[in-house]
Amino acid sequence: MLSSSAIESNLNGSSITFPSISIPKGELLLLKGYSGSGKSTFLHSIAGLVPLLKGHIRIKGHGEISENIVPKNWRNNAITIIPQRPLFWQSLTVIENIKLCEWSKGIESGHSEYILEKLGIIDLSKRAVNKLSLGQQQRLSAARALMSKAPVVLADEPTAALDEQNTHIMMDLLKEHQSKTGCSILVSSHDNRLDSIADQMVKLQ
Amino acid sequence: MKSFYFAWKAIWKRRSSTVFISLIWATGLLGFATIQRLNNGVSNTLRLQLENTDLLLSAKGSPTKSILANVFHLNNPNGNILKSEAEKVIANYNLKNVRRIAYGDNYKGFRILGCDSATWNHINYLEIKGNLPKEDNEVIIGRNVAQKTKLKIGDEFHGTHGIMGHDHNHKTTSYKVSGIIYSITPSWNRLIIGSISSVWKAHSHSDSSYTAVLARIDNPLEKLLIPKRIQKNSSIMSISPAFEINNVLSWMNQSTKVFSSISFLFLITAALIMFFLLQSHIKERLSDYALLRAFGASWLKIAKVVLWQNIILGGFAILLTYIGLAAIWFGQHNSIALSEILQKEVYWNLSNDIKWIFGCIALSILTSIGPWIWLQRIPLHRALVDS
Repeated sequence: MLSSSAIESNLNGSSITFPSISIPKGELLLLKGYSGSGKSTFLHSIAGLVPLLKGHIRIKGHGEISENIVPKNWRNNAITIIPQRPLFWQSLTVIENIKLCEWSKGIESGHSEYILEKLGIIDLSKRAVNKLSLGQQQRLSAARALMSKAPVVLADEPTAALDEQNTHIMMDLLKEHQSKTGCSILVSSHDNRLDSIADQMVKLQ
Repeated sequence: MKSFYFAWKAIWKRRSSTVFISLIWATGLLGFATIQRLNNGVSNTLRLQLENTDLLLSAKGSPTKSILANVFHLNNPNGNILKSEAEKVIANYNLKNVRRIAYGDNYKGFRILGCDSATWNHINYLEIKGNLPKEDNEVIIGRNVAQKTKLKIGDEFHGTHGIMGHDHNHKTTSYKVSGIIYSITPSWNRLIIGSISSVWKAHSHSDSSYTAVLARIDNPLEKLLIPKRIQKNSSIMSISPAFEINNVLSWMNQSTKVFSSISFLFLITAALIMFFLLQSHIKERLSDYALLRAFGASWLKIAKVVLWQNIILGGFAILLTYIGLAAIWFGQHNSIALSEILQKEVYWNLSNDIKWIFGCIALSILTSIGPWIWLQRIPLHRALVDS
């Protein structure tokens, strides 16, 4: 499970304060707020990408982040992140981008083909990523993150720019992953369609 | 090896900038490697040509011209020396491996050189087809002569008067090819070599003269003293080819240093350009590296990718340099002077390249460090959000 005290993050010299949260194992917390309210910064603080000025973030069995200290292998084992925009190495194919993620995390998931099939993009596995539609890229971005069995999934606006059908695929994917692994999920979004799958909701001002 | 693979794919995606960076790098390396080869080639050629030649006796005139004519067989000799006087000098001094030579005619611009039996032993044969001359009208020809004139063993030809092409043939003197030689000493490969008496026969009035006498002196002190003594006590010009060539070499070394410095500057410029290009290359790919960090890749893993990218670029530069060297190698065959200096054994002696190859790889590693450190200072959050 993930627990965070009220934290103060250092974003390029200015501090931003975030409320405390706690996500029990197998639950999904939806972080809502307008654009610019700091949703991505909060997720990146939990990922250890933005340094903390105050407070701590703890994941059971993986230690805690406090001021300028991020436990070793935090992003390898403790969390996995779906970035706001589907970022890929444009020089690589679909399957190679998944292998790149596995190499970065130091894991060998062995079920990349299964997830690609589930997402309906197995036929595209040898295609260059820039040949995929935005919806396919968003699904691939999620698939890549969910190769990991990390106890916490951070999803930054995972349904942004997705149509109704792709949004449902994404929601199903997150829920299925959650039921399989028992992970805690933190989703930042201003998409009301996600309200139905949330166990908790926190609104940033 | 995955880091290598990902680096390779990133490089391949940016083929045009990869070729551009490698070309700049390779231009500097090519200049450096070519100058190194020319330097080694000149030293090697001089060593081979001057082997066992501590003394040159010839007609008075320009010492350099005499060396070029009688040792390198390139220029016209100063003239002839009297056989009787030359033999007197030979008898009076402690000379070893004495070789007497006399220039005769030419055939299609290739010189016919008459020589004594000691000279036959002086030729460093790599290969000999046929036999050494047994009769006065028999000659052996160098491999270059055979290639250019299409003469074969058993063929007969008439010499043309003079060392370099005249049209007047000695209709009475014909020569027969008894063998074809390939010598490690380049000048022998472009000569037609017969006995000294055959040259005298072609010029019946000149049987009492040599063009030059070459000899070895074993005692180091005598190497310095004998040429001066002979010069003082006879009408023959007596010189130490090694001493004279040393003057030429010291001048050549200065030019080599200048060229080497220019290539080195080129290399440094290429390294600086590569450094900045790599930095901008990494800036362009900021989100790629930020993504790796977001996934949990260690700085060491990222360093490996950056390092491999630079080593691949360095490898391309080395490959392009060798393509350039091969182009020079195939292009230089039209020039006799260059082909004598750039001998295969010296030109493709790759052990001389180890230094600059290691230098290139070291530079690839060094130029990876700066961008890698810079990468660690960028805010990952912004790189992920703004990309």
